[in-house]
Amino acid sequence: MSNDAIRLHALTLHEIEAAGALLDAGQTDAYIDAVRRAIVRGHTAATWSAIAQRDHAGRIRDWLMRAVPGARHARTERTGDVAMPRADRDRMRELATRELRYFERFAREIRSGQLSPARIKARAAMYAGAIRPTYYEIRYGHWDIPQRLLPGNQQCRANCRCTISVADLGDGRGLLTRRYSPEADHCSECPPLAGTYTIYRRLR
Amino acid sequence: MSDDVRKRSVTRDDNAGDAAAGRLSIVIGPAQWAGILDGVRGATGLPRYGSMMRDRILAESPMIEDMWASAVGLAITKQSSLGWRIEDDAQSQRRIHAAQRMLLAFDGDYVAGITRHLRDYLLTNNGAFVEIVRASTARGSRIIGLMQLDSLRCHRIDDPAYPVLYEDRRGAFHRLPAENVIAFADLPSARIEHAGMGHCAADRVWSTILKRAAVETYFREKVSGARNLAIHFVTNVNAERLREALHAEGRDQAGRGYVLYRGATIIPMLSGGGAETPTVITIPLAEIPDGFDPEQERRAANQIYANALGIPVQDIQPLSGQGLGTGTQTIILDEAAQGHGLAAWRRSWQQAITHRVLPTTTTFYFDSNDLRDRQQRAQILASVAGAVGPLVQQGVLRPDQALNVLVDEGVIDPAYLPSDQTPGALLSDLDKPVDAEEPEPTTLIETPKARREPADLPELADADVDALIDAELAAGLAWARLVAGASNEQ
Repeated sequence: MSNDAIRLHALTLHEIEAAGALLDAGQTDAYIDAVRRAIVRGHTAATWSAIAQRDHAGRIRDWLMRAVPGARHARTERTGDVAMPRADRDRMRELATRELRYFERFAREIRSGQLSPARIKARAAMYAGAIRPTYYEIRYGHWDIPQRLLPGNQQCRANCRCTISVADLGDGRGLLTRRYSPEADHCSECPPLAGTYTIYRRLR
Repeated sequence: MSDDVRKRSVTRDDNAGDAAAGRLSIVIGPAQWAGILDGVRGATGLPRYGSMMRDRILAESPMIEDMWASAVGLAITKQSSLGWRIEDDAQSQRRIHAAQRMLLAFDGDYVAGITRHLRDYLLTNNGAFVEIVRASTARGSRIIGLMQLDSLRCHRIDDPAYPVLYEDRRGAFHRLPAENVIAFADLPSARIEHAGMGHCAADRVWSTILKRAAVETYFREKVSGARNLAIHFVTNVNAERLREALHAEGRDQAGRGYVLYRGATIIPMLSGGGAETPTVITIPLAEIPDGFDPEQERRAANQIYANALGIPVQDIQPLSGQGLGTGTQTIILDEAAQGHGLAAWRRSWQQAITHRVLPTTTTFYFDSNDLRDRQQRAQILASVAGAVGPLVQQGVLRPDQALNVLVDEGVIDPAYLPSDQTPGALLSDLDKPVDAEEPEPTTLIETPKARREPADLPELADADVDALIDAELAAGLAWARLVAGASNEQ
């Protein structure tokens, strides 16, 4: 089972926390820009990773090494390089835009000076959690997964450490397994959700 | 029906442009069904209950027997020609018009749509299915239309959230959420394994259909001479003479334009002498068995058909000697039909449309609205008013209380009542609780979005976001390579 979503979450969180130094230095605009870029980077990383896991199992690293960020919207077969599929990029842009709209509103509050640095950092850290729904959306978007089962949609929100995986049963059904880490702090919603579920492919 | 409804329906690919190149359906009669019926279980020749093949045969049952076809046609057209009305407690003309438009466009056209719907209801155990088409795939999205789904393409699934799987013409399956489909069935099974499958009218009368078809076929062949009716042994007639006589008769008839099927075998025999009188010995092959009364059989079959369809038997068999029956008979029949089978369908349809499709305050009723209906309403008004009037005169009720009674009885519009002194805790199946604070659930006009975004969220141009993504694509890819390197998966 892949823990890529958790690792990407951690990378994004680290990037956002590292930007806190700018805030401490009084460079508010630079801080906002750094967090914004960290959010977008997290989404692009989640998308690359999810596509590799979804479509290129068994040669994930090879595919990622051949991927060319600049080659947009089409495979460049002649060179053997690969690009991000247009549909996935569009979906990622949709998801990232939603997060960025919330962030821009948050940025206005930061600029207004009404929030303490600690509070700003705490709220900014939560944006890292949005990486995981994007990862699951791209990776398992062709499955009809109930929203309540997607990690990040429970009380613990962005702090959720639960993971899901889907095994294709080959007849239009899939077996979704949701796991949670007992040693991690978890909310009251997550433990009962751990288990296996029959889900179906999206048909419309 | 607007193109938008069709476009958003699961049936959108069923009438695609290349449909002309699609499969051709040929309706075949029972004579060609040997391949299907051979080896199947049961005395009636039907496949097992619950199978699509059984429904496929039942759905074609009107093709087998004329009287059954007529009875089904009559039962369906009676329902499809019923008038209806839409009421809105808040007197919203907008909601009423929207509901009317949607129902008139049911599966393209109301009458044709309801006819197709009822054919599935009466002729398949699977029942009839109506798709609630919404403006988008989001839960609780605005309802934009209703589509009739082919029952033979609907599979009942034991999943309360997605009870129906629809297979379109291209073979693609569409899972229908419970909120997007209404499933009707005649006499639904109580077994949970059957997932609401019913026992349709055609199944209930299948053996009668077969028997009646056999009787009618027997008589048709007997009358038309398509089968050998008898063998005649004629003695003392020369075979050549007999052949000449038959040919001469045939030529004579052909000259007059007659066509006659002969259903007898004549065997000439010569005895020893040549001057004996010809005699005929006949062995009947197609006589009706002793005690068999075809008229009685037909009447019994009509009664069984009428009971199965839920229509008065006089509908398909008017009183003897009365032609189409009498006026009084018609009124009595109409009242009698209130408790018959299709009344249950009418009630189900009204409840489904009222509670699952229309907005909270809007109600659908079947109502022919003809002169007799209006006369009935006038009679009810006169009757209730006649009962209340003396109570007012005797001082038992005040006029405002009497008005309240008349409103409660439904003979006067509630708009005339300044304040309800007997606020009801009584709701009939078609009434809806009117609560100003209650949010409207799935409504036709005003549907709250499942998840609203805050109003103060700034808008972002796609180009700006694209520029940000382009700037971070390489860094994102580097992160993806990093986590892939840390992962054991390949």
